Formats: sequence, structure tokens, C-alpha cells
Amino acid sequence: MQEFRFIHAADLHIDSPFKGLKSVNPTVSKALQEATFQAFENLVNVCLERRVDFLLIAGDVYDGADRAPRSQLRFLNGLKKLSDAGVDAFVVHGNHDPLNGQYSRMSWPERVHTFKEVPSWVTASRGNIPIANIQGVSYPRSSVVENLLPGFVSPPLDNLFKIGLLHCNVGGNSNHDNYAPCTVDDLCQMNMDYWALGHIHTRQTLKQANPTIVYPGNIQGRHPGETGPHGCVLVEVDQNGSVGTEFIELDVVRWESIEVSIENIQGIDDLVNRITDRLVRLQSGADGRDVVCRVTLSGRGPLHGQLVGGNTISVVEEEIRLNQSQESPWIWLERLSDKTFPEIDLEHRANQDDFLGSILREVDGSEPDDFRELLAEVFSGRRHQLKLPEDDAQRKLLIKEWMERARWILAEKFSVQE
Amino acid sequence: MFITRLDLDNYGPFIDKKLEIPSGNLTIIIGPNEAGKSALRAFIRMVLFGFLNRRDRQFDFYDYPPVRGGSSSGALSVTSANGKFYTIRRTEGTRGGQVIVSGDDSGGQELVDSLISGLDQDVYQNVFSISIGELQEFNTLNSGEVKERIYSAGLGVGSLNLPSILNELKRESDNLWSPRSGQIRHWFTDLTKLREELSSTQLGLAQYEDLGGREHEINEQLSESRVVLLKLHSMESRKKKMIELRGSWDKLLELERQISLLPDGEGFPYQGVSIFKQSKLKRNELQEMLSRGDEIKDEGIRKISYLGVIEAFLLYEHDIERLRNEISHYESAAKDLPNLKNSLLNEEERISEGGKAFRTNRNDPGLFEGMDIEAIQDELTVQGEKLTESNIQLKRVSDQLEGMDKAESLAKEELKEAIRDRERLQGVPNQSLEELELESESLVNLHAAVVDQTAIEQELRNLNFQLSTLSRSVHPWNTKWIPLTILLLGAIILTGSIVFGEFSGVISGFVMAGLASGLYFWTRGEDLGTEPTSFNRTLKLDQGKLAHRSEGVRVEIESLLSRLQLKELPSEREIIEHNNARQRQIRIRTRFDEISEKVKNLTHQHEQAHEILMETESLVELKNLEAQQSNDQWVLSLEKLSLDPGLTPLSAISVLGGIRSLREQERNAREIRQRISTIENYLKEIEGRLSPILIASGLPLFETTQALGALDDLQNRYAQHKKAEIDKRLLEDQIEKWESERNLRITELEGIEKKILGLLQSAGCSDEHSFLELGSRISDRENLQLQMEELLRNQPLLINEEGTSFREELKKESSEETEAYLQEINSDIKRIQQETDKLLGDQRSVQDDRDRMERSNPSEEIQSHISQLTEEIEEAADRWAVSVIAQKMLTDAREKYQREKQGPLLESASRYFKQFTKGRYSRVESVIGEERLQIVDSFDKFKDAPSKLSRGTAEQLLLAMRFALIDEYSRNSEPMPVVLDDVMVNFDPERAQATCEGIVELSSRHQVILLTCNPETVRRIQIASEPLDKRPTVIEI
Repeated sequence: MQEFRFIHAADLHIDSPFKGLKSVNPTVSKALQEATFQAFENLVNVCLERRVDFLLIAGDVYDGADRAPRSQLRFLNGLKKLSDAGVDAFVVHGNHDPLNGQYSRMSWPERVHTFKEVPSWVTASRGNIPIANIQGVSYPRSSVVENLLPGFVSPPLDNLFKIGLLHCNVGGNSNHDNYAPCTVDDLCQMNMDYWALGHIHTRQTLKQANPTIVYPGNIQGRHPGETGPHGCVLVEVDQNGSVGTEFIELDVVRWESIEVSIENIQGIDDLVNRITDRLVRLQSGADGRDVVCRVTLSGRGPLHGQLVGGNTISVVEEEIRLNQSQESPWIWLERLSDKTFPEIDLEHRANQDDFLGSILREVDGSEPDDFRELLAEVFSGRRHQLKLPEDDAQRKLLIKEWMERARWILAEKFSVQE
Repeated sequence: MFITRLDLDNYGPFIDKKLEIPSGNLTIIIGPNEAGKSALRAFIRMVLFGFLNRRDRQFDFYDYPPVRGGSSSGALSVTSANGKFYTIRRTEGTRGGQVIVSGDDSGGQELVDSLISGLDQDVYQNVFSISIGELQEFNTLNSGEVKERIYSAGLGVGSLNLPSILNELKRESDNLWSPRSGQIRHWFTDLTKLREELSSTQLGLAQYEDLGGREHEINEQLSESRVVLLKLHSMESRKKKMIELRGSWDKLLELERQISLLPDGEGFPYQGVSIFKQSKLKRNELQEMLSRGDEIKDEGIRKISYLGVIEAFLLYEHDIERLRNEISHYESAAKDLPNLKNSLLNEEERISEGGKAFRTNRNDPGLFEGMDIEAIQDELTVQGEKLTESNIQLKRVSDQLEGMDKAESLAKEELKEAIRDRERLQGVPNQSLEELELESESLVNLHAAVVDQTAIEQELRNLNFQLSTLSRSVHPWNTKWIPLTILLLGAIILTGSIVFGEFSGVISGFVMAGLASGLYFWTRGEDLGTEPTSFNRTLKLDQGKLAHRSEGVRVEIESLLSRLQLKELPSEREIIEHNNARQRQIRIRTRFDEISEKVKNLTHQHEQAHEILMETESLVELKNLEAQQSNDQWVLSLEKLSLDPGLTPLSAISVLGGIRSLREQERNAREIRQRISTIENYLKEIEGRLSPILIASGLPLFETTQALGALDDLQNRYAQHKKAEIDKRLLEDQIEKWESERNLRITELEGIEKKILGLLQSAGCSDEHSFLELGSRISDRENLQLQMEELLRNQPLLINEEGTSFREELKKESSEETEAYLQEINSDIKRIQQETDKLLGDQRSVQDDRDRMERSNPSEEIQSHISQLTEEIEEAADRWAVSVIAQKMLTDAREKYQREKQGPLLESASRYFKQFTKGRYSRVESVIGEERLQIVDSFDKFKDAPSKLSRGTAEQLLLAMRFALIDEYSRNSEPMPVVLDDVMVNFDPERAQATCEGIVELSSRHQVILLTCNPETVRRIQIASEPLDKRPTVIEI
């Protein structure tokens, strides 16, 4: 078998709007708008620097089916660059960019191969020498709720390395829509050597070998939930067909989320200093990247009283942002959220034989679903409205968290009157 | 408390009305309207709590003035729980009227209050005495104490204001989401609008595609234009190249012509002229070099003869080198020698002096040789310290002895003085101080008793006088007869004057009448104070008290006289004199006792001082002995070391120190002598080596130990010799080198001569001139050939294959023709370029439009807004969820708490209410954290405020509350009679019957007086009583 190497990337979400950003200054805004493009350019450059034989893109190239021409042009230019350098690109489309989406007329380079809605085999070559067989499938529409593996065809009768390229949800990951659902066992039965998957934005290796099953995650974090490094996976296949993988960071703006406890903090100025220190440390560890960070205030302390009500949180936010550099690499405090609690020993309070004690104890006996009907007013689940998680455990966990916060609110309000 | 009778002396419609309430707890008083039933209720309240002030808000409600006029009054006969009987009578008057309680105990309002267990009149009115008026007014349950009992269910909630917390939470959640408004609702609306906007932006894509097509067309036209332009530019550059080549081409032809005219130089040596000229130059150079080298050689030989090299130094070179290195050592040793000799002399002198200096019986310190001076010194130090310590101790005890001797003498003197003082004291009484003081105290008491007795006698006399005066002062002024007499007189005068028309008589009559009235009222005013008779009684009472006191004083005096052993009572003055004498004796006795105490103390002190003196004398003797022993030991130690026995410890140590330094000095002297000898030997050895060199070199010699000058001189001379030697060697080397080089140069010169001759022969020239001329022409040809090469290098097209077509054209085409072609091509280029620029402009414009569309991609912005809004909604919904959960938790907990924590009062009220409403309602409860009640229906679902109930049901609720309160109040205090005044007028028959059952039940624990105008009520009560086998008493009024 011929040695070769390729890059496996997924979920580019080019030109994706950044979620959850309340207010940003122009520098940050511009950097964020360019971030997914930049990350894609990094991907192209990595392919060239590492002299890979081909690039695999496992779906969700664009963020929306209504693809902006700009996104398509940038994507086209990147692939042209690769094509000029003799690097093939194999692409499938996922739920965000299904085949029935709106396209601009583009002339794709010769070396770009886009899989259609029917799975098919394509052979990747170096010069005239074939090195691997690749089978993939694109989503015909955004909502593909059936398992696509049964549609896959048997591999050709040669000894080439076999790669599956698929946008799917393995094992029903509840943080993502359950599209093209399948299991690790399903994948193992398909006689592939490497499964290049997409859809799940967190990097993970589901199986190390025989076959190797990898989610590389998205190439650029896009909201406070997608923290830490994001990028692609460089895969090296040796003469024996053994697979070695290496993660390569591509993100240009890093999302982080930190928690700062208010314990032992007496004043707002102390709080500003502590958050600023943490942000500075965070940025020094980001390898020269720009950082967008969400800070959650936690813990119990005397400062809680000052934080609730009024505009203290926004004042602190502004103060910290004023202190941050406007020059790249910058760090942007995306949001300061207050999850602090008053200095009340809740358990001790619950043990007291009075009215508040009885309320706090009562909650322990309540079932989260007892509140479901009450919550349905806002969490109606109707189109374009909010809904509670369908997963039982997740829903209960969420309502439990609200119940706990409600306990604290009551304890606090009572303590003010007491 | 149980009411047994009502005596309505004068109250409302009743005059001297008596109502007996027989035993049995339920009494119905029935009468038609206006028969006075409500007046009876008011009467009971009035007797127990008094008449209401007009300003009281309930005054009208309870005001039943006697129809016949006069003051209201009446009485209640009651039996208390402990079986005592009382009659409480109240008469109208100020401050609630006058109340008198008679019976088993008598008293006023205080006794009444204790009979009703201190019940507040508000509580009585609102709880125990109920009419339809109270039942229709819910506020009657809101008086302080009653309210507190009803809402005691909130205990545990403390001061919490639950409604305010609930309102706060509700406000928060409503601000976020409510049926018709709220932030989340608004945001949802915004979100929908944004989504609609997003879908409309998709339409812009078609326009974008058209722009793409137009751009493609322009690009194709541009490509064509660029091809044409490229061709034209290529032609333009060819013609320009032709013009550029034309000059070089002409020059090339000229060079070829000139070269053909010059000899080609065949047979002439290659670069012959240049080699010939160089060889000639080299020949001249060599000839000059040989002449200059010979001159330098001669000069060197001359210089060598002048150099001062000493032959003897060459023989002794090694020795001289050694001596040069040792000069500084020699100099230092020669300098040290006299100093060392002086040091030795000084040391020897000090040793000789030192031996004599010490106070020792040994003259030669050397005798200590071999002994350990430090050990001796340590031993003497120990002995010396011992001796010194003994002497110090002896001195200290001697000083103590002296001090003690003085103290003993002083104590002795003081003792003598005190004894003398005591002997001098005269008239010392035999009695003890205590006896004297007791006697004096008795005298003082006696004096006080005598004074008291005198005062009491005086007071008695005064009283007797007042009594006799008072008996006289019961005067006709204090009777009404005098003013009546004057009035009568006035009336007679007035009548007479009127009858007789005498005006002055009229005035006098009026004056007398006025006087009489004035006198009367004046005497009445006097009477407001104590009546003479009562004053007399007081005086007599005082007189009795005084007599009693006088008897007490007399007994005390007799007791004191017996204690003082006096038979008769002395006069007050005698008592004072006796007491003064006793005081003097007390003072003398006190002084005597003090001195005696002092003598006793001083005797003790003197004895102690004497004892210590004796002890100190013994100690001195002991220390003296110890000091003597230490001294003997010290002398013995000195003698053992053969030292002067008269030495003190301090001087002995000093002597030993001196001996030790002397020994040190001797050691030093020995060392110095050794060093002098070593130095002298060293100097001799050097001088021994120096002398032969000086002799061989013919230099002057030196004195012993004074060779430093000779050594310095030798060193200088040797240095000069060495320098001359180096110079000589250098010159000799130069001469030798030149001689070998000279031979080489001569050989070289001969070679050059041969080379010049060979050149001339090769060129076939006989002399140098013809050779040079031929060479010049050949050189010109070569130059022309070089220019041609340079030209071809710069314009390779004139010679290479590529330029063949150019050369052909240059041959065929004239320069003018080429210029004309170029002009034509330039005009074509200009035209095509203009067309291209226009296309480029169009392309830019299309691209700008596309860029603008891309940059202003509204869908991107809208999506970003949607995303932000979604996040905001999620956050708000999160807050809303927490808030509504908190509200539900609070309300649920409150309901549960309400169910579990309602007090016995509301439980009891609920029971009555359920009974009165025949189970329609299950309970009444107080809302936790709020001061309000709510009723709960039989299904435990419907809850509402009492104000929402129908009139009859509301009255049933309030009656139930009262019954519960009656039970509550009676739990820890005297049960009070309950008066119900037509409370069921608005009840339907069924509920009225149920209520009557409740009343009968209540009457098993309390006395109930039911006032009614309705015979049906009597019947219902009777029906209700039947199962209990109790018959109510019915009284008709």
C-alpha cells in the first residue's frame, strides 16, 4: 500500500453569524465576521504546508442553505488554490448546506469532488497512482432523520485504503440535532478503514483503529458554548494501512468561558481587578489569538447584594472592556453573567422550623415535571417558540436547576424581610 | 360567672324590673319588638363595664336612658365559678358611674374586674355579647387582641410580608411574560419579523446572479482586446528594436573596413611590445638594486666595529645572570643586618633590667624555667580570690555588728522614754475603757429620754389646751341659725320698708339678706374642711398616742437609772456634767492604754535587737577565723614558690605575668641572633661569587657587606653588553643575507638581457625602434577588433541566429521606412487600449455592485440579530422560569402550611361554620402571612374571601368565629355568660336549626341568654335541646 496523508475537516460554517453576542466594538465585530473565513484559509494553508494528498470536508461547509455568494466565492478560491497545488478535495454537504439549498453558479475546479445524495465511490490518486477509495453522501435536504449507512455501496475489490465521509449523529448526541443517526457498531460493519465524520462540533475520536472513527469538530468556535481550540485532523496512513492522527488548531478567535467566584471579594473594584487578571492570563495562553470570553460570577459572598438589581453588572462589564486592548491580539469580555448567591447557609436555613424552612424543605420533595404545565406558558414548543428539552433527563436537570435557583431567590427575599 | 338575677331599677323602658334567671345554662328571653331585649343586653354590659362616655363610638348603640327620667341604675346578681354570690350595683355618674359590689365580698370596680377575669370591654362586646349588628360588621373581629388570636396561624411566618414577596415575584415574571404583554412576548414578535425579513432578502440573490453574467461577458471581451493589444505591442517592440539596431549595424560595417587595412601581425610575438617594455623596466630596476645593496653592506661592517661587547662577560654569563637575580635579596639582607643587631642589643638590655624589676626573692627569673607558669598563676588566682572573699565577708559582718549595736541602744532608749511617759500619767481610772464607754452611753440615752419626756409633757399640755379651746369654739357661727336670724331680720326690715315706702330700709333689707347668704356660704366653705367634732376626735387620738409614748419613756428612764445605779433621777444638767467627767476619764484611760501597748511593743523590739546583736558578734568571730585561715594558706603558697610572702594576691599575679614576658623576650633574642648569622653567611657567599667577575672584567672591587654598588654597576654594564651583542648579530645577518641575494639578482639580470634579444630576433627587427613601430600598428588592429566584439556583445542580434531576420530587414529596409511602420502601429495600440479601458471600467462597476451586495449582505446582519434576540429570549425565559417556579413553591408551601398550621381557634370556628352551613363549607382559614380569612368549600377547592359570601352565610361565619372565640377565652379563665340578641334573623330555617343546635351545645359549657322576638327560635332551641334532655328556661317580657 502507498503511504499518504490527508486532512479531515468538517463543519466549516463559513460566514456563520456569531451567536450570543450582545454588544461588540467594531474591531471585535470585524474580526468575528472574518473568523470563519480566516479559519478556512488556515485550513487551505495547512493542506499546502503539510503537502497532503487530499482534503476531506464532512459537511456543513456553509452555515445556511441560503448561501451567501461571498461565502461561496471564498470557498471556491480556497479550493482553487488547493487544486492548483495538486491537492484534491472531497466534499459532502450536511444539514446546514443541503443540496436543495440556493446556489450561485460557480465553476468548481477539476480537483474538487462533491458527493451527491446517492452514496458513491471515488478514487483518490497521487499522479496516476491510486491511493485510497472514498465513499460519501450529501444531504438532499436539511432534515435527514434516517440512517444513511444502508445506502452505502460495497467497496471495490482492491487493496486500497477505504474512507467513509458522512455528516451524521453517532450515538444520538443530544446537543446536536439527531440527523442521519447511527451507531459506532453500524459504522464498524461498513468495512471502512477510516470514518471521516462531521456534525458534532466537539472534537472526538470514537474509535482509535479498525476502523478509526473521528469527529474533528468545527474549525472555528462560534458561540460561548464552543470553547477551546478548534481545527482539523491530519491523518497519516503508512504502508501497512495503520492510521496516525494529529489535531491541528485553525481557529483565529478563541471562545472561552470562565467562572470567577465572588468569595472573599469585598468591593466592585476588587471584582474588576480579579476578572481582568483572569482575562489577561487567559489571553497569554491563547497563542496570540484573539479571545472572546464569557465570565460567569459564581459563589456566595457579600458582593451578591450589590450585583443583583440595578446596573452593576453592566457597569463592571463596561469597566473591564474599557481596560482591554483594542489592538490584536485582544480579549473581549463577551458577557458577564451573575450566578452568585447570597451569603445564606441554605441547608441550615432549610432545617429551621418555620415557614421559610418548610418551603425550602418542600422543594426536595417536588418533582421537576410538577412545574411542566406552569412552564408551558413560555416553553410552548410551538414553531419559533421556546421548548423544554425533549430528553427526560435533560429536561429534569434544567428544571431542577431552576428550582434550586428559585429556592435561593426565596431564601434571599425572606432574609431581606427578616 | 353565672347571672342569676337582673334588677333593673331604672334603665331604658324598665323600672324596678326584676328578672330571675333560674339555674340551667340556656335561658331564652322572648318579647315582641321594642319590649326591651336589646336594652337587657346593654344593661348587662353597663353593669359589668360602666356607662359609656358620650364620645364613645358605641354610645348610641348602648344608650338606653330611663323613659321616666332620673339616673339609670340597676344590679346584677351573679355566682362565681367558685360558688360565691355577689350583687353588682351600678348607678349612673361620672367615670362610668358608681359601682358597689356586695355579697360574699364587697368592693368596687376592681372586684368586678376580677369576677370577669380582667376581660376587656371591647372583647366582651365583640365576643360574648352578640347582636345582629356585630354579625354584620366584620371589623368587629379586628380589635387588637381578637385579631391576634384569629391570625395566630401565621406564627412561624414572623414579620414576613408574603404578599409583598409574591407581588414582587409576580411583577418580575409579568414584566417578562404575561398574557398580553411582557418582554419575551415582544421579543418573540420581533423575532418573527426578523425571520420574515430574512426570507425576503433571499430575493436579492437573482440580481446578484445577473451581475455575475454581465461580468462574465465583459471578461470575455477584455480577453479578446488583450490578445490584439499583445500582438500590436509585439510589432511595436520589433520596429523599435530595428531603430535601436540601425546605428550599431552601420558602425559594424565601418570597423570591418578599417581592420582590413592593417597588418595582421603574423610572426610578431604575442604581446611582444608589452613584454619588451616590461623587460627593459625590469633590467633597470635590477641594476639599481645591486648598487644600493653593496652600499648597505659596507655601512654594516663599519657599525659592527663600534659596538661595546665585553669579552669577559661572555665567559661569566651564567654567574652574572644569577647575581642579577639576587641583587634585591642582597640589598634587603644588607639593610636588615644593622636593624637586627640593634634589636638584639635592646632585647638583651630589657632582659637584664627585667630580672631585677620583680618583687621576688629570686633574682634570676631563669629559675622558673621548666615550670608551668599558667598553672601557678591559676592556683594563685584561686587562693587569692579565697583570701579576698574571706576579707570581704569579715568586713560585711563587722559592719552589720556595728549597725546592730546602734539599733539595740536606740530600742533601749525608746523603751525607757515610754516607761517614763506612762509613769508621768495621773488620775488613771480603775475601770476599763469598755465600762467607762458603756456608762457614758447610758448617760447619753438618759439625757435623750429626759429630753423626750419633757417634750411629750409639753405636747400633752398643748393638746389639752387645744381640746379645751376647741370645746369652746363649737360656735353658733357654725350653725345656720345666725344667717337665718339675719335673713329674718333683713326680711322684716325689707317688708317694713316696702310697706312704709322707706327706701333706705329696702337697701338695708337687701344688704342684710346678702350678708346672711354670704355668712351662710362662708360657714359652708369652712365646713368643707374638718368638722370640729372630727378634729376633736383626732386630737384625742393624738393625746392617747402621746400618753402611750410617755409611758415608754418613763420605763426606759427607770431602766437606765438602775443600770447607772442611781436612786434618783438627776437633773438634765447633772447628767451632762456626769457624762463630761466620764468623757475625760475615757480619754485618760485611752492614753494610758496606748502607752502601755507601746511599752509592750518596745520591750519586744529591744529584746529582739539584743538577740540579733549577740548572733552577729558570734558571726564576726567565725568570719575572723576564716579570714585568718585563708591568709595562712596564701602565705604558704607564696613561700612554696619562693615568692615574697608579703605580696598581695593582685601583685603576685602581676609578678608572675612579668616573669612570663621575660621568658618570651629571651626567646626573641635567641631568634634574632640566629637570623643575623644566617644573613652574614648569605652576604659572604654572594661576594665570593662577585669578586672573580670583577677582576676578570677589570672592574673595581668592594668592602665586605658593601657590594651593592658593585652589583648595580655590573648589572648596568651587563645590560649594555647584551644590547651590543644583539645589534652585532643583526648586522651580521643582514650582510650575510644580501650576499646570497646579490648572486640571485645577477643571474636574473642576465636572463632579461637574453629575453630582449630573443624578441628582436623573432620580429625580424634589427633594433628596438623598428620593433616598437611594428608593434604599434599590430596593436591598433587589435583595438579595432575589440571594439567590434564589444559592439556584437551589446547587440547580439547583429550576429546570432535569432537576429538573422533583423539583419535581413536592416539590409532591405531603410531607417525612414521603419519609422513610418512604427507610427502606424502606435495609433492602433492607442485605439485598442481605449476600448479595453472602457471594458475595465464596466468590469469595475459590476464588481463594485457585487461587492456592495456581498458586503451589505442583509441576511448576515439579520441572522446575527436573530441569534442575539434568541439568546436574549432564552435568558429572559430562564429568569421567568425561576420566578414562576419560586411563586408556585411559595404558594404551594403556603397552602400546605395553612392546612397544617391553623390554630385551635380556627379549627373550632371551622367546625361551627361547617355545622351552621350544614357542611356546605368545610373550613375557614387565615391566609398565611396576611391578616385575612378565607373560606373553603366542602370540596376543598373553592376558596374565597368572606366578603364574597351571602349575608346570611357571612353572619353564620362570624357567629362561628364568635363561638370559637368564646371557647378560646374560656379555656384559661372564668366562663362568661353569653348574650345573643336575635342573631338568626337572616338564617334560612335549615341553617337556623343547625345554629340552634350549636347554641345548645355551647350552653353545655357556658351560660347562654338568648334574646329573641321569634317564637320559632324558641321552638328550634327546644327541638335542639331534646336529644340532650335539657330544657331551656323561657322568660317572656
